[in-house]
Amino acid sequence: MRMKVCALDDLDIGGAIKLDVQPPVAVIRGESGDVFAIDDTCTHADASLSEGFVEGDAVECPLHMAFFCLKSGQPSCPPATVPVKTHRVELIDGDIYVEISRG
Amino acid sequence: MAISMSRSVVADIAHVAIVGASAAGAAAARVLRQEGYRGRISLIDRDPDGCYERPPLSKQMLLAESFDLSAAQLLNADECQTLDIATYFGIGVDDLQAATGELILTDGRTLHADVILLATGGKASCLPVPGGDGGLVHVLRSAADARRIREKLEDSGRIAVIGGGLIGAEAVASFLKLGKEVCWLDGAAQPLAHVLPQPIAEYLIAHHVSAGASLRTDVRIGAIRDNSPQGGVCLELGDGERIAVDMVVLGVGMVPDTRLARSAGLALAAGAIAVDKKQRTSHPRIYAAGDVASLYLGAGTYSRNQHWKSAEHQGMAAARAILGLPVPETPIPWFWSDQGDLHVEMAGKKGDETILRNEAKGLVAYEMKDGRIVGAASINNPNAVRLAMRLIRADAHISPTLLRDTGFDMRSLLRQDKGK
Repeated sequence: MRMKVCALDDLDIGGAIKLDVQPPVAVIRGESGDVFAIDDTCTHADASLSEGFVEGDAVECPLHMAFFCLKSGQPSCPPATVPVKTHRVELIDGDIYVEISRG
Repeated sequence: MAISMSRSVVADIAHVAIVGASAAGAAAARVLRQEGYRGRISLIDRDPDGCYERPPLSKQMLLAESFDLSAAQLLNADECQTLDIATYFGIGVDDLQAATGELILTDGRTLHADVILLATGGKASCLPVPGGDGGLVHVLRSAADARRIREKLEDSGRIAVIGGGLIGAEAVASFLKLGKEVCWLDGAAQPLAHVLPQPIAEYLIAHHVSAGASLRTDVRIGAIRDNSPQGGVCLELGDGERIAVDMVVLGVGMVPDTRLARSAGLALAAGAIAVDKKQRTSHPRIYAAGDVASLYLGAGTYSRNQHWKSAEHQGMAAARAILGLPVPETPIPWFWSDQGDLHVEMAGKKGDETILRNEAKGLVAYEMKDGRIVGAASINNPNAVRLAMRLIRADAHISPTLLRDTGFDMRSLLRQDKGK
């Protein structure tokens, strides 16, 4: 499923938008300026990664400070051990689109 | 050389016994396996509820419609099975023989461990007054405590919360949310000011008072008595005043559970087990982590950090040290507290001066010392604290004027630092 998120200019560096799909997806702009999409719920506990602090192209879980690479979804710091799912992001005419992959 | 040494150390460890299955103990068990340890792991906790998160006990677990601890598991039964962790829940340790590594369990069994991690946490403190430690008062540290409070909630329209710390404030907020009449008593002149920057403490107090809490500070409790025949509990204050309530909840701190450490003859400091940054105690076989540990900072000083993240870090550090792996740097102290609809975070420590920044997302208070940020706290604005933690780590200099200026992009400070 492909979803239009917003214009690239409307997403600040370090900003995030939570897509209200099931399960929710976080669209996050890393400090490199690149936009990434990952599953929004931390794999360790019930917390929304769209509310997390962005450092580099990684996001820190707002609850317990697990750290996930936005590109690979891999956790780099405990307590999370399971990666978050990543979704493909496309930029078309200055707009952000996310291809939500399930299964 | 170092690698072969650490391998031989690991090969010698056939059995790691972890006493205490809360944040520190659970993290240690998990990290031992993650780092490839294949020997036996025993996770022992006298709490029959086993391995669960404590932070929700004063919040979600009081407010939720039903008490469901499965949502707050640190390690569930499936994970323990997958990670091959043998659990001994509902079973205590009667004695610990450091020389032999023997743990005598309360069910009569004896475990022989090569390495023992004490993550025994602590017990909720009582009040040293008549009735201050009996059935008339409730503490809030275990799932069973939270369950007992819940059972009495329906018949308790009027609740006294004694203690101005985080647990006390969280309990106050939870009870107010449940529509209770709350009498909040603190022995200090102001609740929360010992753990949070003054303006943040004031903000929270004002919030709870406007939500209906009746706050009494500088209170001395003389005695706590059964209020027969009317029922409920009567608090007798030092000045002779009496306050009748249906339930009393105590949040007056904790005492590290050092019983096993003492019986094993371990060195203590500041009332807890003295450990170094590798969580090593005075006995080479025994490590300690979490609330029961007192971390040596050098120059004769120790620090006890009784928060979730510190316990988790220390458990992880202990596991790595046991395996001969390098231990990551001690993180900047950090905690969160949920009080009603307010999410509070604090990182670092208090300084000499507090600077307020009124961000649209929520108030931030920076603690300053010698022109540097040494601490920060925020209300409903956690990422401001997460950013501040990075500035604290970077030892960033910043003028109070810039800090107050909400038009100034705080993130730019991090970029400057990276450019150095």
